[in-house]
Amino acid sequence: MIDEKNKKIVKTNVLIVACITMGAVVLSGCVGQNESKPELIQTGSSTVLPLAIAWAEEFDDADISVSGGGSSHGINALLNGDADLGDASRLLKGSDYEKIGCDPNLVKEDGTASGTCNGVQPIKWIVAYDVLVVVVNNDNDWASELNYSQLYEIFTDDNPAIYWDDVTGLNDTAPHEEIEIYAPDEASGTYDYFFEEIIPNWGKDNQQANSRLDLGDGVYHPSADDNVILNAIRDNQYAIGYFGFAYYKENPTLVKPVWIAEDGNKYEEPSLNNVANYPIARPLHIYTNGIPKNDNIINDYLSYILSEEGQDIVPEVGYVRLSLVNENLITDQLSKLQ
Amino acid sequence: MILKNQKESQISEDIQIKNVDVYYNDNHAIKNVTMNIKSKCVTALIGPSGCGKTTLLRSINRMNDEIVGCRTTGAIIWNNVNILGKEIDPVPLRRKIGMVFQKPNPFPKSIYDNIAYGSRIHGIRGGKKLDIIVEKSLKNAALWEEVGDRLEESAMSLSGGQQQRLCIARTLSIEPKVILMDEPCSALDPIATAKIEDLIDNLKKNYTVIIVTHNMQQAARVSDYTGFFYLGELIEYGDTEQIFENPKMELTENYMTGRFG
Amino acid sequence: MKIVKKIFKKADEENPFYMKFNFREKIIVFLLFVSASAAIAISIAIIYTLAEGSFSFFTNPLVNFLEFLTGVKWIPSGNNPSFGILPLLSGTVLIAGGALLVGAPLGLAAAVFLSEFAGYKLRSIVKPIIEILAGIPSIVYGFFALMFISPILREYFNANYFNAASAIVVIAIMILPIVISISDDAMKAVPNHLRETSLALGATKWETATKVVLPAASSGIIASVLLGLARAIGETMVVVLAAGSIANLTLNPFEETMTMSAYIAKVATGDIPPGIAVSAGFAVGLVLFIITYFINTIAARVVIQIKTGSRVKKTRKSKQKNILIISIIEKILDFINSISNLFKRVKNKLGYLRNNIRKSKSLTLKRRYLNQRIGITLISGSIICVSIFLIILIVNIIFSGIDGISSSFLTSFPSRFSSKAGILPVIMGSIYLMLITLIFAAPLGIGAAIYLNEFAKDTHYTRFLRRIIQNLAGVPSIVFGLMGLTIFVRIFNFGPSLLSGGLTLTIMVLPIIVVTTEEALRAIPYSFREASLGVGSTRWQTVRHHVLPNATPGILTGIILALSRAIGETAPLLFIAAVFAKTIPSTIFDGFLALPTQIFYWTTQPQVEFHTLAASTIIILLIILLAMNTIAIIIRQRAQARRDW
Repeated sequence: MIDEKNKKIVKTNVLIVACITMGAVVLSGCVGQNESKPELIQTGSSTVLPLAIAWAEEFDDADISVSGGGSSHGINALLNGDADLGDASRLLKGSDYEKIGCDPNLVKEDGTASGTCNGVQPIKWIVAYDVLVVVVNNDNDWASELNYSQLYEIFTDDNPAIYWDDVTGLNDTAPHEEIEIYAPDEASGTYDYFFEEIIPNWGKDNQQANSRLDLGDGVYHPSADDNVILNAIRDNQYAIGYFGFAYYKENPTLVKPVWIAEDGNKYEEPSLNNVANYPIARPLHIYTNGIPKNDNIINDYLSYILSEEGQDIVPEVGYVRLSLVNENLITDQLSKLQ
Repeated sequence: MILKNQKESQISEDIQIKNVDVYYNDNHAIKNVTMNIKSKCVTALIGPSGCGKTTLLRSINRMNDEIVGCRTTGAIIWNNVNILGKEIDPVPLRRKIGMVFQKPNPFPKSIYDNIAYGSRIHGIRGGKKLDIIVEKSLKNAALWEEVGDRLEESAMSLSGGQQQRLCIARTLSIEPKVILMDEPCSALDPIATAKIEDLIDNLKKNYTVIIVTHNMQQAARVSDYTGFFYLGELIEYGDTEQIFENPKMELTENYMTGRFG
Repeated sequence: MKIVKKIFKKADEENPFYMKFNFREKIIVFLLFVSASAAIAISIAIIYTLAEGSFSFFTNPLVNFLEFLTGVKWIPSGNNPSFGILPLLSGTVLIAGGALLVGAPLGLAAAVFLSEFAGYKLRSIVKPIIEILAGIPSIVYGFFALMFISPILREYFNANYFNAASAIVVIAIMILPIVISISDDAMKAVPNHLRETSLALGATKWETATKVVLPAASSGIIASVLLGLARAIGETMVVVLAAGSIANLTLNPFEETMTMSAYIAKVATGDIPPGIAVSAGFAVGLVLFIITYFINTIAARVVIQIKTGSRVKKTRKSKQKNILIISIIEKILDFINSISNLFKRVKNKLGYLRNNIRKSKSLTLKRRYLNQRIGITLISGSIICVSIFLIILIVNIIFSGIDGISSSFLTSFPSRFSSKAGILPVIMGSIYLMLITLIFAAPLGIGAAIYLNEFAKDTHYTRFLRRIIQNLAGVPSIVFGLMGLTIFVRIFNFGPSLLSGGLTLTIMVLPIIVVTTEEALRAIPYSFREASLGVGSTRWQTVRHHVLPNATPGILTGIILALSRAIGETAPLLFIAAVFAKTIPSTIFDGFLALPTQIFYWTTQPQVEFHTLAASTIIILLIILLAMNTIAIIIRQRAQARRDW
């Protein structure tokens, strides 16, 4: 008797599942996708991701599916042949080659490679710039301008400042309160770039100092999510941190941006238009397998990205268009595609 | 009715079942049963399957309360108290009226913990007092010799017959006055059955025993009084000898001679 | 073929009772065996993934093995890196352990209430709600922990901005559905006649529930707690957001800390180029794997002890296994055994003392009823606690996301413009993923459980298999993501497709299905099988006609839990799912989007409108879960109502 009832139940279930599946299939069919465009796979840095999505959306001639996973994943996917475009906020490094078993010496300092790995010849394309903005709490009126050596005192383990008034130049104006840092963790490209700017020889064996995070004194509170950092600085009067401009752009009233001088007194405003002068800006890259030929859809895509139309989108997303940094970047790269 | 084992006037210790009806939702399971269970005797309830014997048994210790949709009317007077009354709390009642079930169901604990369970609940925590209770119960259930040296072992490792005696010991440990047995031997082999029947014979010295059984010969062997049930009604009740040898009702006689059931 | 026929014919003629070669039965048993052994294959794949990375880590000159195990500083980057795992270990112990300490008793209490005291109607409302809790993606919890719980802790307890306590509270709530659902099933499976017998001895309902039902259901309860612990240990998202990203050797819940899983997730998805910091992640993963194995082994012994109420007999055969690790485990177990026996003896002695010192007044009936009332209050309090949290969470989400839901939202594609963005491909992707996961995971998991419980003899191999499968439950979800990438995307060459995603999720939820199915099978009384075998059925026929139909409710619980987990997990899909596409997948080899990865992506965007979109997507996810659960629960409740044993 149990069998009878059970059969009935199984039948009902199968029917339900079949209905759902059919419904799903029908629905998907309804939303017409009858043209078959060429498909591209783009993956990698979460910094480049919003840009990649914007471009993929506007570029009508191909179906580009975009995902994140980090710069390392993007480069790795490209070298393994899983992706057509690898987004990276950092440069290709020798260790990327080494991980797959290729010769790391083929990779040069500038992030280009003189030899293939796994049959893939990575070509570097600079597609936009990211402005890195240092922020403090809205009630912080003593640190609205900082130069590199002050940043060095705050953010590194080389004789670090414990209190705000320990910092050279702020001894009279700053309160005697402990500095709290909320900033990206060491897995973030932003972190890497920031310290590359303020610590000489960063990343090399003769690196001058370590980051405050590596000091382990509990002052540097790392987080993987920039939204979280934003909120932390908003809530803490004596906090300081940094992240990509896009996060500041969306929430300009929540925190206060710090004007930066590389040396001396020439403090520059962090803004998308001031990127020529503002010292802490980093390039964002897309890596492809070789220089795509004219008949290759990737060629069209890259041309689009570097075109006026494509670059118009960049500031909308919160990054810096190439023309504001260096006009030649566009013309040089476009000529490679011709 | 010829009274066996005539005792001092302990009429109040008898269980007087008066006009009891039991309904499972719309199913009228027990129909207007009236009978007087003598104390310190063994009373057997017999009849074909589904005739309500177990239902009646379970109403005596209010186990039917646990069944959703079960309604009982009438009165069961014991010690001048109506057991079925709403003001009676079944929890202390069940300490006085114990039950042994059809299928041996020891708890998945050690032998010691099984017996000790009832006492522990009622406040006897541990130590010598508990040890004594355990030993006494096991002896009264004729199980001590077999398991006395391995009380820490799991009760599940005992044979069926031993498990049932364990359950009886467990019931005895709380020192009830009445023991209800629902077909206690139906899952056991003849030797185990015989042991339990001997036990029942011993038990009636100190306890009132009511036993539901399918097995007529067992009823004849073990009980002093027998009640025959059919389709929820008490057909005939009396002295076991009389019921078996000289049944008054035709239905009873048919059942005895095996014409049905 | 003719010869074979001849042989059989001969057998028939000579003696009808000769053992026939039952082809069909043998094949089925073989298939079941294969399902069970699939777990081995998976574990090997995971161990391989972890070992490869660990090898390059430990062979690096900067790394000292002893320092790794005993060092108190974990600073993997910079000029002078230190690789002492203790801070990460303390982070895991603090957060997972804390979550278990809070969540397991709470969950157990709620389960006792549901199973033993709740009315039918209440139960049928509360249980589905609990299962919805199971499906809320951890990313939601993470944000909730940060936005809601952390400020409270900072306000009243003077905690840091990032603190372990908010992660603990939230992970505790996260493991509740697992503990409640499975414990409830385990208790419901305790045969009614045990309850009756306890009541017949004059026990109150409360005493019956705590002294008879709980111990009888202990194996299921411990299984649920272990699964909960595994979830807590393997959790990455919540911790990353709320607890902090820095390794801190502390057991103070109000400080910030990082767990082992969080570190693995960080290096796997970050921008650090491959190097020592990244391979350190693999070493950490390996340590985690080993730790969960130990915990499972010990727990298995504990279950046997509780269940039979007797000391575990030393049934070790005389041939000693010479493997060092096994003898170490045995020694630890003996040690734990002797400690627990010591406790028992002390307790007994105390009992003697108690009875001698003061006149032991029996527990009066009044006192016992008081205990019952206190007990019921406590456990219904826990249900209320859980419900309140759930309500706050859901209300929060609904308020944030309800405005974004519209028909265009449901039928559009993602876009960088929040006003245009929709989740059509996301919903489809998740539904397809669920179907694929169901198709693979259900038969594989149920098959493995059937094999282990019904066919396998209790050998070292089967015990080992069981342990391996339980172990898989504790692997951090990000490791599955890495594995899926290496094995399905690359080695099998399925690419970042629905198939790869579905298979990765299958592997992740497999242990849940196996563990819960095994519990469901174990709950069927042996007498059912005996009866069936007694009329001459084969083992498989017994299982198919008698065991499986009665185990359906429990099996369905497991499948619901598993699919709820699968639909909400971000980490395994991070490397496979896309967050933008213009088409819906049409074959299983196509790329896809999925609900959790979409939610995660939108949550981490700076624009607040995307946070709203994320909330709207969460609502849709919950609705889908509700639908899934409702269907399965209807089936399950009908099956359970029919149960008369």
